[in-house]
Amino acid sequence: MPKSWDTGICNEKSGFLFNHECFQPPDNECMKCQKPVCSDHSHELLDDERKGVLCTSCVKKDRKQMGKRQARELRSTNGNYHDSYDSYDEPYFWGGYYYGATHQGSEPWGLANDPNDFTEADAESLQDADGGEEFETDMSES
Amino acid sequence: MTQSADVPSHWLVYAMGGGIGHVTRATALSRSLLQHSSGGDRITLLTNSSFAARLPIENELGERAEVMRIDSRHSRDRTVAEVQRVFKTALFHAVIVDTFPRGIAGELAEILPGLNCRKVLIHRDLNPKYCQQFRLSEFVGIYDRLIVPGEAAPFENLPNTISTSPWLVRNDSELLQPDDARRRLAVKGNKLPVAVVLGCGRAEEIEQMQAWAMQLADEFPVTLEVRFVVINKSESLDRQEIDRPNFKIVSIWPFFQAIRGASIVISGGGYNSVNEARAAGIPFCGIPRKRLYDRQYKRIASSDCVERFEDLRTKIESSVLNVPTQSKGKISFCNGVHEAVEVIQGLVS
Repeated sequence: MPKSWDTGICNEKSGFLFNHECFQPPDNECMKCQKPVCSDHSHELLDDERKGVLCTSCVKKDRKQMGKRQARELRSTNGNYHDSYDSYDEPYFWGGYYYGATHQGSEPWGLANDPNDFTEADAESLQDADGGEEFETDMSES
Repeated sequence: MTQSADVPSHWLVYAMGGGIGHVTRATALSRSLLQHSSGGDRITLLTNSSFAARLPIENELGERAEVMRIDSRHSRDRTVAEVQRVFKTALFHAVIVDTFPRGIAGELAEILPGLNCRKVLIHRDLNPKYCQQFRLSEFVGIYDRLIVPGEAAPFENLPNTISTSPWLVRNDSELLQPDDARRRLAVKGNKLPVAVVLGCGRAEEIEQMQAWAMQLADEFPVTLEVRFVVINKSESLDRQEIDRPNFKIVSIWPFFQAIRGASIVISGGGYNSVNEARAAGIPFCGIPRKRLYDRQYKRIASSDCVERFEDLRTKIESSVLNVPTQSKGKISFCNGVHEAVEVIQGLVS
């Protein structure tokens, strides 16, 4: 049974670190899941075979499925591989590394296991920390 | 700044931060540094622990150490000014910073780049939000070495990082034997098991631990000795001891030296208490305290975690009262602080 969507707002739930609702008005419809999405959560396909717009979630799924194959292609083409999307530099696709710049030269899209990836415990701390902690202000903290 | 072997070293150990953990770990390191260094080497240890005024740190370190205590009640600005002043008092050959790469107030971000000396970070687990907010992955590049003292830390895979076993303020051979340790804990005889409750952390946490200690004494009046170990013993507590023959309040620091007198250690989830109990093979249970930087719940094994007094009572019954008397044979553990000292000395030699 196809999923029903709210038509008046962007239905994407995707964020840099944690998924959260987006209440912007929709500008497009995902060609894969028909989800209404705003311009921020729309990703245009650039390849020759497919034309249209995908939502962030579908791009992520698509990317995951293609990842290993493309990684192999990347190696075989000496790094000259071009992906199909226009927006991998957007925060929705960042991997959540401690080291933002150190993944250059590693496998694309974080396929290799980075020992510095956030763990579940880190995610919990990041969520807790949204409560307004002010670092470097309390001299009695530890 | 490197130096020739005949020039004495002067180290600055930055142990700012609340509670007793930073200063205890820094004491462990300083003690080992002095033990393994030449007679002319000196240490300045900088702390703003609210406990520091009552801790006999000088007795631990001897004459070659100077302990500079910044009042824990100082404002952030005044604390920063005091730290800046300390950095101007001498030309240090190396600065060793505990836990906070940028300092407790971020003040080291301005101080460290101007120092022509070796810089070492004692790198521990940190709240990832803090790491992100202050781009610590880049900032730690200012350090010549990161030393991870026995627990996972966010930048432990950087090439200039070295991991050691946990740092302890006593070696295995320095711990009091069980009978001597029980005497140090004011326990007569060796028949009853001893539950040691550590009163550390914030004032309200110490009060909670004291209440739990007294409740334990009340619930097990003839089967358990209870000791509440606290740095600042107030006179108002004397009455509690009189009313409970199996309850006493003792001041011992570092407590680790007497740990073999304990049948179980009950504490928060701080670095020292957890690692000390683990090293000595003493059963432990702890309440993971909420801290801004330290994530104590990650340190305590789930089976050792207690949230309510009922949990503690169950733990005491299962781990202490209903088990055969444990053998108190020789214990052996690796004190990682000596590995750390080798690394630090290698940097300036």
